Parts: sequence; C-alpha cells; structure tokens
Amino acid sequence: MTGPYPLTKHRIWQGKIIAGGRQVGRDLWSTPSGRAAIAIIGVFILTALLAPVIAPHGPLARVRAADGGLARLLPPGPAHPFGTTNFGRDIFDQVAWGTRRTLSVAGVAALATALIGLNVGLIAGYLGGKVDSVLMRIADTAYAVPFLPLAIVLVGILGRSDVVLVLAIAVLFWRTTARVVRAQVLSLKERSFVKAAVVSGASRRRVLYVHIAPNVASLAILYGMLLVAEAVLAEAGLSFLGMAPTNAVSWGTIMFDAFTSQEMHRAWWWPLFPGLAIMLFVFAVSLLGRAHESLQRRHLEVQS
Amino acid sequence: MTLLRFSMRRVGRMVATIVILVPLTFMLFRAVPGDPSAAVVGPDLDPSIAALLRERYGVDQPIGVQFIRYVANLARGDLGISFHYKQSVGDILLNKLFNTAVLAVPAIVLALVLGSALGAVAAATSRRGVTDAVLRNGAFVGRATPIFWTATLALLLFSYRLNWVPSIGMTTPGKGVVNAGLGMFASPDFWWHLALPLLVMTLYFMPEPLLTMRTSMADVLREDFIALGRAQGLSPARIIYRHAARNALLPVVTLMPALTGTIIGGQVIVETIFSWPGMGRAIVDAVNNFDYPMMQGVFLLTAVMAVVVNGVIDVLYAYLDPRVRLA
Repeated sequence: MTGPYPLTKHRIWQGKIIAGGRQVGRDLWSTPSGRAAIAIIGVFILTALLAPVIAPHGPLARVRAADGGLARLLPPGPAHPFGTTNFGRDIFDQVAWGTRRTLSVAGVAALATALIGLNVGLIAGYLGGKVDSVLMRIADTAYAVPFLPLAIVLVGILGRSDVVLVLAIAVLFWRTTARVVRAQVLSLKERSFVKAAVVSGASRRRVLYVHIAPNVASLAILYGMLLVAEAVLAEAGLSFLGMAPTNAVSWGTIMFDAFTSQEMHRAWWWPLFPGLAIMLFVFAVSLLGRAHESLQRRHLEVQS
Repeated sequence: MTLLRFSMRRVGRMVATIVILVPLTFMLFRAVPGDPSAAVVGPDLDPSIAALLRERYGVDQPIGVQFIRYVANLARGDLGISFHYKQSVGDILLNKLFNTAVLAVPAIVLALVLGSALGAVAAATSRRGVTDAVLRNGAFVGRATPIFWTATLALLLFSYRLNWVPSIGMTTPGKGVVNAGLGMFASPDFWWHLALPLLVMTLYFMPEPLLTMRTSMADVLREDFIALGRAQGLSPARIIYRHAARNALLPVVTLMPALTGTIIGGQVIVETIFSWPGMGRAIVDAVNNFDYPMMQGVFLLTAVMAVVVNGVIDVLYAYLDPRVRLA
C-alpha cells in the first residue's frame, strides 16, 4: 500500500498545499477581475517589502523643508507626493511603512483565524454528534458577538499590543471558515477513499489529517485570503480608535493621528491617502472573491 | 412546524447563547491584571483603604460567590458602579442607549429602504447594463470603504470646508435644547447635527441590501408568475415594483443578523468621530478611562441586544415565509 514513497502525513500535506495554492492561483488568474486583483495585491506586497527603499525617510522621521524649518503640513507635491503631517512626517513614507505593518498584522491574524476555523470545521464535521453540536453552538455565539466592542474590551483588559490585535481578530472570525470546512467534511467522510482508510485501520487522527484535511486545503486557503481583507479592515478600525500600540504606524494609525491632531481641517491629504490604500486593498481582495464565485458558477453550468 | 414551536425553539437558542455569553464576560473581566482598587485610585494606596475598596466592589470574596452575585445583580438590571463617573452603569447606559437609537434606527431603516429600492432598479435594468454596472460596482466599492474614512472626509468637506453642518455632538450647548428625551426632535438644531452622521451611516449600511435585493430580484424575475403577468399585458413597471419586488424583499430581511456586527462597529466609529454621546463612544471612553464596569456593561448590553434582535428577526422571517419553519 505504501509503495516506494511512503505516504507520510508531511509529504501529502506539502504536496496538497502547494497544489491547492497553485490551483487557487491559476483559477483566479484565468478571469480578468482575478488578474486585476492579483496585480493590485502584488503592488501592495512589493510596497511592503521595499518600504525601506521607496520610503527612505522612515515613518516617524521629521522631514525638513528647503529653508531648514520642519516641513509641516505641506500639500502633496513633487518632494512629498502624499504631503506631510503637522510634525513634518512624510505621509507617503508613512503609508508605505504602514503597508508593511498592516499587511503583516492582518496576514498573521488571517493565518491564525484560518487555522482555527480549519481545525474546528474538521473536528466538528468528522466527529459529529455532541462534539459537533457544542462546537457549532460556540460558532453561533461567535457570530452573535459584535467584533468591535469585544476587540475594544480585549484591548482595555490586556493592553495595546500586536498579540492582542491578532487575538481580537482570530477569536471571532474563525466562524465562517469553520462552517464552510465542516460542510465539506460532512460530504467527504461519506466518500469511499475515507471509508477505505477507516476499514484498513487508520486512526481517527490519521483519517482526519492525512486523508480528509488535504482535500479541504484549497478551500481553507481561499477563505484565508478573504480573511486578510477582513483583518485589514478590523486592524484599521481598531487603530483608528487608538487601540494600536504607541509608535506603531499602520494605515489606521495614520488616520488616528490625523483625526486627533486638531489640524486635520488644514490638511485634507492627511486622512485621504491611508484610507485610499485600505479601500483599494480590500476592494482587490473582494475582486478575488467575486472571481471565485464566477468560477464556481461556470463549474456548475458545465456540470448541468 | 407551527410558528409557535419555531419561535420557542428560536428563543431556546437565544437563551443558550446568552447563557454562554454571561460567564464568558465575567471571566474576561476577571483576567484584569491587578485588582480594581488599583484602577480606581492608583497602586500607591493606603492598605486599609484598598481593603475597603475591595470589599465595596466585592472582589474580596471567592470567585464563585462573585459570579453568583454578578448574575443576581444582572437579573435585577444592576450593572455595577462606573469607576470613572461614580454612578450606576445601568443609569448612564439607558441615556446613551437612547442617543444611539436616535442615530442607528433611522440609518438602518433608510439603508434598507434605499438599498433595496436601488437593488430592484439594478436588477430591473440589468439588460441595459450601464445603470446596473454603476450600482453594482458602487456597492462593491462601498463595501470596501472603511467608515472612518468616509466619515472623516465628510466632516472635512461638509463641516470644516463648506460649513453647512456642525461637526460635533447632538445639539449645540447653550441653545436651550434638552440633550435627551423626545423634545429634542422638535429642534432644528438637533436635525442639523444628525444629518451628517446619518448620511455616513446610511451609505455604509447600504451596499449589502442593494446587492442582496439585486440577486433576489433577478431570481424572482425568472419565475413563471412574472411571465404570466407579462403575458397578461401588465406594464413592466407594475410587474417589477408590485409583483416582483414584494417577493424579492424576503432575503433582505434575513440580512439583518449578518449585518449587526457591521452596524454596531459602524456606530462605534461614527459616534467617536462626531462626538455623539451614545454607547459606541462610551465603550471607547471606558477603555481610555480604565473604567472596567463601564466596559463590561456596554459589552454585555450590546451583545445581548444583538442576540435578541437577531432572534426576533428570525421569527419575523418565519412568519413572513412559512417555508423557513419547515427547515
């Protein structure tokens, strides 16, 4: 049964994740909106990686104008494409460095969330019975609890830190992934390859993580990607309310600084650009979701 | 299943969720580092006064006793004493709840009405393309736009630059308007304050009903009874707005539970930006003041309200569409 290459958990997972990721990527690339979305997201990722190169001032440096004074509240121009803040900080540099921070916090949060959702969905769907109903009741509660008040309370209790931001997002948003994965597992566990594995004496854990889990990997990857957008909005909303660690610069904190500065009325560019970045990024990710939906519809039409 | 049995089951699920929520909230706030007396007066405190405070807030008792006391107080509607305001949290929140409702309820109603109307228009004109494309893509862009950005830009434009509307609060202090109660509605000053936050919130909630109505309307327009209406020679407008829209509205009702998180989040942010004295601003202020009883009160009240509203809407939906009860 094992053949020349033993069927290890590790090997299957590696193969399936790469294949699943490739499959999702190739499918999405085949639609125009998917291509546009991948291009936009690519630019954001490049910006995050190259922040030190394209934004050499750094997010907190106070820039001087030609006359030697601080470059305070300058409108967008050739020297400062997005303008400057009341402390003479270059907003383009802040947005570029903010991209780095926003995407890494949101990326980690989305990954943690998708992993929780994947495991809850797997266990609930496969074990069924009492475990399933308890887990699904907890998921119901997670749907019922409003995100922002809970996240604010968590920051209030645990303090302002990146870990708390990730925790606040992960503790609720796993619900959708869990439900979708569970539904998929319910149908997978009736398939003959799973039954064959059970009959041949594989342990429950092995059946779940070696035989079933790899087949929901591409679904979890897709939901993980959509979660990045939710996490970006969540992180930005919390940062805008002043719930981010001090001195952290993200798209949300730039807007928080603008709003609390008392000088925003003299600098429309200050809140404009970080907000545009959020909108563009979230819109691009939602295009991915739409591309996926239209692909599914196409599959259904081919089948019927 | 009868409507009564469906409703009872739904209420049972509601109670189950609340039964999970209450101990969860209690435990969450026991995780506070240190004890509340430190939060009220600071760490360098006379030990005897600290002991007195610990007794007053009941934290000298074993955790089990504290929990039972907490539940008993909740049952009596007692949410504790605010550290910051030194007043009953329940009393403070009752006033704030009214202020929140004054803004949130019209925004939700406007968003549902305008959103489904525009969604119906989008579906009805989808053959011709342009109107539908504008509305649909507008909704997608709207869904990606963070509310603190629209609110900030609206504030910059309409309040700071054009000076059309006031920028903060519910009323202008010193204008003789009572800052609570129904008398407020008689004052034009209040309506001027309401205009901008209401506009921002309505725009923020609108994309979901629009997109849902558009899809559901497109489905209904493919049904046989619509073809029958056409064959009978009814005018297209009559078919769409009298016959199709009525049936297509049902899925929009079910949207509410999915929207509560968005609505509450939007409310928190809008209240913060426009200094609207409601629950949303109260919770942000509570964090900045280290006011734990206040945080706990707002959080629990908000979550329980979300659960109850969603339960009521599910029952309403079952009443409107008998097919739901069978599922």
